[in-house]
Amino acid sequence: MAGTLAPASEEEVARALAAASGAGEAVVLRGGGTRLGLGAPARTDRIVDLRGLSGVIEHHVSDLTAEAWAGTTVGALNRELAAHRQLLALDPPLPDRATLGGVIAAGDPGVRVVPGSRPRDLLLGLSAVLADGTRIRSGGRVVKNVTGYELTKLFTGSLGTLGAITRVTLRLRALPEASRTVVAGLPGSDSVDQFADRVLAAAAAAPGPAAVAVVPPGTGLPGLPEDGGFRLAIRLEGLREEAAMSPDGVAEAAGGGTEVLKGPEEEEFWAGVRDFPAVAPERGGTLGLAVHGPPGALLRAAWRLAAFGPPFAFPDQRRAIASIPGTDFEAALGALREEPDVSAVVETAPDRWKRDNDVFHPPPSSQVRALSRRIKEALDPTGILAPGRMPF
Amino acid sequence: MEKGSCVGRRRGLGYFHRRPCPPIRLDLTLMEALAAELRPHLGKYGFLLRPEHTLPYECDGSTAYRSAPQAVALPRSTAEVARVVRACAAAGVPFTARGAGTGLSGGATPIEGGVVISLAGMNRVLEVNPAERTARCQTGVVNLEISRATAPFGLFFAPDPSSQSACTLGGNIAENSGGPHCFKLGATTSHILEVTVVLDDGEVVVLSEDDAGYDLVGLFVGSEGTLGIATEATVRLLPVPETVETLLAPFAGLVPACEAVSRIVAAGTVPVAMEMLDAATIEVVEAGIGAGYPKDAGAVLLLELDGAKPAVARQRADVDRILDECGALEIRVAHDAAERELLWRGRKFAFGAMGRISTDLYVQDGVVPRSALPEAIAEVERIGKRHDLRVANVFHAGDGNLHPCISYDGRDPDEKARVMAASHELLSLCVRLGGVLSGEHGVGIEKRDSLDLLFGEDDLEAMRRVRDAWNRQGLLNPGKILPVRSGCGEPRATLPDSGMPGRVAAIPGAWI
Repeated sequence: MAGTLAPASEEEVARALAAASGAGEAVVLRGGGTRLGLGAPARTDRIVDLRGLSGVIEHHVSDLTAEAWAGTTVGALNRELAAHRQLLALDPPLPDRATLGGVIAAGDPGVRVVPGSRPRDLLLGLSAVLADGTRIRSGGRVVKNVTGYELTKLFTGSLGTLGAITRVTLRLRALPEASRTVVAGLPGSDSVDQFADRVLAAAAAAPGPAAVAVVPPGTGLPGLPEDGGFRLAIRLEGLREEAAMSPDGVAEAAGGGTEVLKGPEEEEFWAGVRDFPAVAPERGGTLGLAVHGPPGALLRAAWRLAAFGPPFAFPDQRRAIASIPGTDFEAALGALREEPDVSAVVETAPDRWKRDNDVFHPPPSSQVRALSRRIKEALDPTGILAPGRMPF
Repeated sequence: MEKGSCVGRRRGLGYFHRRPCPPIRLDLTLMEALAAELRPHLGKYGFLLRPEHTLPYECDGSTAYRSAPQAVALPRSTAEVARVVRACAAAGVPFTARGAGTGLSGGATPIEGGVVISLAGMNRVLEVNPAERTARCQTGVVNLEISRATAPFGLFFAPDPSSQSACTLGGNIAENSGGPHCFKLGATTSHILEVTVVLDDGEVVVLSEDDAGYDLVGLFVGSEGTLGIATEATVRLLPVPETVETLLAPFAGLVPACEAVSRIVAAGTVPVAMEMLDAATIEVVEAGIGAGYPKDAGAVLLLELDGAKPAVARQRADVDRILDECGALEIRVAHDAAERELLWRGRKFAFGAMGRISTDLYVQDGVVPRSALPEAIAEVERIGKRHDLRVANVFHAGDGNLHPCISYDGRDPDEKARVMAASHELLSLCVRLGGVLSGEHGVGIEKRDSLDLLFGEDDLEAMRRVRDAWNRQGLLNPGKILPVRSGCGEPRATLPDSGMPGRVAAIPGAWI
């Protein structure tokens, strides 16, 4: 069992990593632990828990930016910001456990539309400790910046393999004045191609949505009668007039009825969608799958995966997630091969399963793997940070 | 980490006055050998050697830095770019990619000589996918041509640098270009899904946002041509908004106008653009273009709202109220496309108009937090006065991205020295107020030796290691972004004594 260190300052993080580096110990960094299983299994001699670095350092209210320690949870930050009617528009699973550093390291895009609300869009600057204990900064605290190489982008989604993120500066926005979600039913009789075309047309009918999700049947989410078909959920938020858009265009393109969710029911609905990737695998021996690709192919892949387990699709994020029984894995991969433009990653799985199976289907090209390896070697030359976790 | 590798570190004015290292001397037989190897593939006119042919490639929009390449390659496909790169890599010759050459930091200037690879011939929109809102393009395509090609589908490409009628997608990718509308829509990095890159050894790789692993697209966009040469890209398109409103609000001065900007953002209204021009700029714009800006105003705020009609009507009501409370002298609205075009012309061609008042122009690109704008502007004015210089301000107010424009006569060595002194103070000012050196023009040659104002040696070393991981022989666009390591007291790449910053005014669509 790997020992855990819980540093309480940047200096202590630097000392912990420098010591591990000297001893050649493999270090896994952790925050709230909500997405700790991402990537391939990493060799782990020591765990460094970064939740001790917590709290808001400075909230620049009139700039709509905030600097915080990376161990602060998204929920805690947002509660503090709400007093000023501001919001960090990141919605990772389990926001009261997920830390800012963890969400950025996981690169988890949440459920909102892109561009504009992914960690890579909202992260303005960071401080990090490299494997040898060197402390670096990248980016800044302004919303527009091309000064130097974008190490902030590299750290986003790096799964703790390049360094320990210790503090972050984030772009905020004003709390929306109003929000409303239009849910449109999709005909269960659609073929795979009809389904993809219909979703794209219906989503395009909504002006400036805040979130677009295709929700499978059988999830028990509020406001969705269980008639066995997919639903398209479109969140409209912002000024009252922006949230009040007519759903007629969406309904017409979707071909079924619509309903509107508001208030606590709407919040509960989106929290359910948001938490699905973290919660679903805990419901017994299932695999959490993420699929990436162009929207059309992605929607077709989601349609095909429905035979194995409930898939959620976020077409403008070019991402779908599904939870399927481990026993169906080979069959599900076979179905995905019908869509050569998508790739799949097993995000969550029992430890033993991940040790015995490939996680990336297919892995990135050999050149992309080589380029990635060279970046890893540049910033972590002794390779102590989560060795084995990335696809190279 | 290597620290203090150069004792005589460049500080203050010094770096502007030192002579550059002479370009690497490449003997002509080497170039002739490259020509013999490449001309069968590129054609006789696809590889230029004669000085009168290569001279036009000696600089980009920042004409202060000049260095003619020994040869210019004009490939027409990714495979041809790869072939040129393989040949250069094998011969140990530096190579620098170039789009339209509108950049304002020297990114496309071959400061260490070698071969310029012009992508101007690779200018096609290859495919538009309206359902998925994407377009695949060659990177030599002109920015505005993408939106022209996608307009029939009600879609457009969001990044809109002022030079968009000339600059290329590849240049936008290299510099992570912004533009007025990136306040709401994000800079180029938010709009690139996939990019085909020729690497340092001529290998071709496709980087995609869909790939598992590191965000290599995020690293590549904005790397100023030092990590590889982008030859094709798939870009994200956005739907043309249902309605657009363009407003012009004159104020007595910049301070109340900046206050209005901060309050509009804080109120949750997100205009798609907020641009500011001060009295000095208004004067030259009116004399040169006649955009109809009120000549007696201390500042004008050009503001654009877009979206669905009811939403824009509501934003308009909020904006009108705040502008009024902050002391706007009037609120003028463009009633049709022609009026909107005229209001924007004043902004987009402001640099060109400055050619009327002086022979030379030095434009900066620093950023400060939005709330620091009033203090920054007041300090810019003091710096100008202290050095007896004429400084005009035109800037992206929503982002806090300043563009102080210093008009001067480059033939006057004393005035030139004062410009450089002021310039360094302006960069220091941005950093002191919590900002950065460049918002959208890039570091290039111009600001690379000032990077240590913002970053420590360990930060720069981390960047250097990442660069060297992809740019292994140092042949890819050498001498850009990071301070160049050199022998003590021998800093390289500075303004040649004969050169002068400026003549940006000669380029009507200068990239701001």
